[in-house]
Amino acid sequence: MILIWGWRALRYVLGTGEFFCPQCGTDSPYQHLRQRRWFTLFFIPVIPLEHLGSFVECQRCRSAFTEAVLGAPTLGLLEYHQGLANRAAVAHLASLARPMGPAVEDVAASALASAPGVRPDYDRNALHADIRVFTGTDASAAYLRPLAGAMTVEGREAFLRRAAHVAATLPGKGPDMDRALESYALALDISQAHLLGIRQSVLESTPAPGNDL
Amino acid sequence: MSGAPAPAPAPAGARFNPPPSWPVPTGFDPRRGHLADPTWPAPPEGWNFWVADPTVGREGATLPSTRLPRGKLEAGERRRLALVLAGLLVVGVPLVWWAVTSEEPVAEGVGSCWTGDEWAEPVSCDSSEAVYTVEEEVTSPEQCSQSSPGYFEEGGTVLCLRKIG
Repeated sequence: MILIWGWRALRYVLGTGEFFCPQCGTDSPYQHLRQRRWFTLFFIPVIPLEHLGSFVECQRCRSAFTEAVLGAPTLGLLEYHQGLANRAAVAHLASLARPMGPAVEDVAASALASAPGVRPDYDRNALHADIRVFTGTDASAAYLRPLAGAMTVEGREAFLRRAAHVAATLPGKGPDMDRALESYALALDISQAHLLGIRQSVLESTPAPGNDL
Repeated sequence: MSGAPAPAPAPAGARFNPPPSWPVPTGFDPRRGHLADPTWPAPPEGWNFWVADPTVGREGATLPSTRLPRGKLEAGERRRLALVLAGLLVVGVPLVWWAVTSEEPVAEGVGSCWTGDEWAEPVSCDSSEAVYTVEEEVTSPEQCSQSSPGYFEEGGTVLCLRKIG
């Protein structure tokens, strides 16, 4: 009687989704896989043996990566979170401006309409909705936190520069607005000294409120 | 404050299932720290944010039920094992039975039995066809006893026969 036996690694799909593939340089579908060795009898896996580890496989280029690759956001997600963070920061800064009025809304809405990740038709109605939901410095800063690990320091600096520019342009600057910017810097993992430099350079290049930008 | 509540923690092997009114970007997964837009409308009452991922399961197995939702995987694995065992039984039992019951090769030395026809063949001594048995093994026919009715010569060996019964 002939017995055909051997070992074989079977792949178990732990999950699927979309990730940023470093090999393709773009968003691609992935499979999160775990491998396990099986004892086979007549090519049929019969006895499960040791686990061989897990990894992430790009379904486009078939490259394999460690699971750390899933920590990086997709391009679509990065743009989404950039938009969310811009709206949270600007809407919250606008809510701190005194007196609140059409001039404030115009500054905030026009700043957001050209901000990365924000739809170009962003208007006052959208701003009103955002002011209602992005209340509180800490709550708004929470929407900036996902960018800390996803953007370069230059990108985060550019983000803070835009926020500082909006804060400098809005009327009624006070300690609340300063605290908001400090909280944003903290959420973006930017030091307070770095923020001071950013604010200084913005103030030097920003015209006084009431003048044309 | 927010129309979009944070989804509840995900069960293992689940896929995020956003409400139809949420324009989530591709790859959005709250387990990875992604935040819902608070201006998105509230989900329908009792909305299930997590559904079984239909792609979760074993890939590349030899049996067809390879991609099962994790919730059904336990049952699926039991069924797979049952199928393997049933297959082994179907193949193995007849093989073992055949191995046990098949006739062993008949010895041709001293004590072996042979048919009595012209083309004498070794047979089991229990067989009704057995007519002769090999009494002794010698090197020449002259060494066989006087009572021996015959002999076989194989190479340099002479098998002296004795009639059975």
